[in-house]
Amino acid sequence: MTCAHVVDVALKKVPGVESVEVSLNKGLATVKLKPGNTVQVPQFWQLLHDKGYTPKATVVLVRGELTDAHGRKHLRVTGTKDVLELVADAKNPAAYSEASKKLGQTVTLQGVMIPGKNLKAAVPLQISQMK
Amino acid sequence: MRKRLSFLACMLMLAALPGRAELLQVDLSIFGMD
Repeated sequence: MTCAHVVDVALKKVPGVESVEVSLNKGLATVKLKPGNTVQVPQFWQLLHDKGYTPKATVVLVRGELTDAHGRKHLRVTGTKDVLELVADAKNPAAYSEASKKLGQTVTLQGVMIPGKNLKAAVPLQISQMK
Repeated sequence: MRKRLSFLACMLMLAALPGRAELLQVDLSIFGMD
């Protein structure tokens, strides 16, 4: 059994996962999720860690409601009761500015989440693009 | 018939709820995979 197969099988067992594609060359697993899923990114990180791998930067496509609390922008992901803190991506700060103008609206964002030492700890989403 | 219409109405209301959201796709970079 190859490492890629182990990762593929483990990720497909997560409820809400629609499909998994694992690329050995890129060291990348692309996971598509079903509508209405309640999956949180740290779940995937913990799963990979449990299988003996180290999760790194994760590109996330997520839909949610933009909110503001004490000047900080958040994305409320109601399907998961999850609230992601949003931060600007140094390479594309315009995406954060654009998102700031759409408070209260439901938007689709693409960004990067980088796991910390504690895989379960909340990490911010660096917005790179508004879809 | 009435039950079916009620069910459809419920489905439409759920679909129209604001703030409905979730993860759509995740690209996981993994170190140590070969």
